[in-house]
Amino acid sequence: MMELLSLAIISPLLGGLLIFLIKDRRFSKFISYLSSLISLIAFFVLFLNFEKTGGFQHVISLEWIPAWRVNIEFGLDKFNAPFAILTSLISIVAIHLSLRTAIERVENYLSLILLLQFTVIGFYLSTNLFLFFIFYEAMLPPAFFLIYRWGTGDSYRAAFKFLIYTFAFSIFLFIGIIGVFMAAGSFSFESLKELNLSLQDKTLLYLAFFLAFAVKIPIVPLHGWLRDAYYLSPTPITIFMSAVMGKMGIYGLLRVTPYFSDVLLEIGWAIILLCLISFIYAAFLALNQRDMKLLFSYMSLSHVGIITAGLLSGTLQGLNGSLLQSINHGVLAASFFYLAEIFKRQTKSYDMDRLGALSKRVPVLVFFTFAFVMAMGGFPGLSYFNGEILLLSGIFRHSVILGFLAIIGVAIGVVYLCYFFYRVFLKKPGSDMSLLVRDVRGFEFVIFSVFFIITLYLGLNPSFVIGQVENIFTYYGR
Amino acid sequence: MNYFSLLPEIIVICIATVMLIAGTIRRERHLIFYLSLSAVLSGVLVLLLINPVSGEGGHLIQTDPVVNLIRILIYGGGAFILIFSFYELSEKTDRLAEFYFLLIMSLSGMSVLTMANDLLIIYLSIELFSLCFYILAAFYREDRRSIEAGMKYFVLGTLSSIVLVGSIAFFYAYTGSTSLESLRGMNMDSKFTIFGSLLFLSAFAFKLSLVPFHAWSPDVYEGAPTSVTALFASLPKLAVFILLGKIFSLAFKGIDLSLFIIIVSSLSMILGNVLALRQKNLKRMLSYSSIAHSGYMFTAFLLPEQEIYTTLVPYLIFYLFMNLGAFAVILSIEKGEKIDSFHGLNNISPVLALSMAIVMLSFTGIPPTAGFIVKFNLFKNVFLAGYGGVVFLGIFMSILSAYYYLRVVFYSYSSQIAEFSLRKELRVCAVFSAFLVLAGGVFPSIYLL
Repeated sequence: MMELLSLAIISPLLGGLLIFLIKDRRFSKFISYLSSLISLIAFFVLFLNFEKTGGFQHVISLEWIPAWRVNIEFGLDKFNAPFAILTSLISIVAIHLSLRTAIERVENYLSLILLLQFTVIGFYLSTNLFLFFIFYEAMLPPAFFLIYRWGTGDSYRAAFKFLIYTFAFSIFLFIGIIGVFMAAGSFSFESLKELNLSLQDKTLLYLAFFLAFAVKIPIVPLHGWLRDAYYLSPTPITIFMSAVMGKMGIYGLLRVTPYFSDVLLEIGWAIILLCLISFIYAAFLALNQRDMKLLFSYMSLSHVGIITAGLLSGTLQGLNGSLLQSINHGVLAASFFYLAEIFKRQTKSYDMDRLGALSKRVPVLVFFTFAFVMAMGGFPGLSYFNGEILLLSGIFRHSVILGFLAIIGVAIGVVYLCYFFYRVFLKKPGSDMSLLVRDVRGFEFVIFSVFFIITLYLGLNPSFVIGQVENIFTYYGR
Repeated sequence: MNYFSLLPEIIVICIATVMLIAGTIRRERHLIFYLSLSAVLSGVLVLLLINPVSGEGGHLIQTDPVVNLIRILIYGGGAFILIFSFYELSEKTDRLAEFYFLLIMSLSGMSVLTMANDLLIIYLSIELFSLCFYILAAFYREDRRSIEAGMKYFVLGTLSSIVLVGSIAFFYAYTGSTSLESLRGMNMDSKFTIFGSLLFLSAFAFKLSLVPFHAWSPDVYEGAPTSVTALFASLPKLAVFILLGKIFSLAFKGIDLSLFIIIVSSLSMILGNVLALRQKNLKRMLSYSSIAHSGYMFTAFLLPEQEIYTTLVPYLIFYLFMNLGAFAVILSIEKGEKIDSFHGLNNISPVLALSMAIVMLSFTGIPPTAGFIVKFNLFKNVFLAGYGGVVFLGIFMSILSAYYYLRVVFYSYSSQIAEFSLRKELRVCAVFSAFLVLAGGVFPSIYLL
């Protein structure tokens, strides 16, 4: 099993390097699909065969820097395995979408996407804080090249904003891990268990971690990079950023929060309030958008707010819910951005006002869109419902007032989704660009079906992701 | 006096003298180049094969494995500079033999400086390489900026030498000896010693272009020939930092200079990075960045003595190769010192663009390059030693630095069509440096002790 895990981690890197060295268009397409697919299948097989209890499994460990007691160590556990699968799945979608849209210098592009995939997977699977930090930063160069080189408009500014925000707040991650190293003498996640610190120091340490991850998620006062980076980058990259890279922050919090439950008792309400403000604020921003991609960007910003709020509630439901909802949100955000890209490709615009009266023209597209809108709105039986229930119950258990705020945000979320659906598909009479829209066929149909099936399956069987996650928390509590 | 440890310098200077005589008679550039290269490489070879290590105590000069490693790097880096200047200068000047002689003399001066165990030897070797530097900086006699650079460097450099001599006089008056070991016996609380050591450090801060002793650096870097700038940016720092490490662990053990170190290094970090932000000339930009990097490295002297070398030496090694790589790329491009010339570099030479990208990422401190590991190591150790504020400032400033380093990378990967000619010969140097920097980031256990 160890070999399988190494294969899953290393195949995107090898694929990326091969493409970079050979620089052949057709070959690079083949290799990029192949390496992502290998990674996805390997992770899936590993996910099906592992003990859903306890700490890291199938650990690969190579000695690296003995002076700091740091090894190159990757392992799977109940937390990071779903994220790893999500990353591989989303990269296949992103690669496919990129090949559909005409892109110059596609070899470099694909090799950068594969490198990005490698760094993100490395981030998710690393078992010590140092490696975690390295991958957190190593993800920056491929990401900013992708935004800058293949983005539209003023992508130079967008890429720089993204870079400076993320890089600047990595100070706090640095301070956090050095703090852990000082207190526990080692960089491993295990050492978080044995922190011998006063409550005040622990609070500062946790705030450092929170700030570093909050800019990645992002939470509202730190979201300045989001609009340009999401809107101006090519849609496959937007999909990747929103579905996978935003989750890096949530995963980081998920990793450290269980060890800081005493801190959350003290200041938890303030951070949750911040996340909920982010949730509602972004929902209001989304409410009056007429630009599809911008709407989805703000929708993504809004939803990660409640996921983080649930996580920080410190309850079992909240933690379960944020794990489940991250996966659900990844899949659904990817499908919504994919939708926007379909419209952009056919009508050359993201404008929603120039569409309408599509329900008879493109029945399959309407079916999928409606399914995703229902799912995102929290319809029982589809995936989002389960996560939302868990998150809300977590927040309510923490405080009724905060729970009430969260409910408001959820309600606004339904409103802008309905507006979106009405403006694009139902509004009569239709506008000029409606005539250009064609139905989904072929490979895109397959991708949407896969997304739909995942949504439905996770709606009916959420324990596939969260499973007996309680066991892990009992493990942490030991 | 132990002449055996001076063997590399003796051989290098002998060959260099032969080169000077042959070169002034025959004026044939390939002959001059290969003789000079063989001089420098024989220095490396002797150090590698014989590795002369002197015994304990009582000598004017003293070597140990770390110092020998630095000497190898000085001569090896000198070989790079020789190659750079051959491609930059050999067409433009007929005084190549003199240039190379000065260059090699300055290399051996720096090499002696790393070994010095006596204040007088320190002074002599500093003068040896500084005098060569003044002339090298003014080597374009026809160019006013080059003359200005040499002049400025000379005047301010002489001032710092006077300060150094003054501080040596202080120490001599106090201890009656000039050897570093005798400094250990000083009364550390006296105002007298503190004043003397501050003077001493100021003289070296000038050589390292630390703020507020940095005023010469940008103009000199801009005016000097580019290969000479590459020399200024890399090798003297290596020698002076190693010497300071020795002094801090031997002589200034008990003196509390932390306030001075904190002030100087914080000022250097702030000023270097902030002023680099708006530079359009890459040589000036790298000058400010070298001020900033000196500031980072200077914080290492806050550490307890056994950690100074293990923190500083890796940083110095990779700082050398980052500079060599960056200057190799700059020299390969026509008008490479202007940042606008980098537009669309990737369309002409992907190899150069990639090497520049790796080197610049390493300057910024982004993994998987060695720059990240060494910076992390430095900041971690300083943080653990209890100077969190300086570390916070340092990281904050290195985030600012991302803007001006990565701008070069952005330019070279822009889609603009580039129209300029390239010098292909230096590609090997650039790729070699970039490769080392990358390998150092992936396998840090080799140099982290």
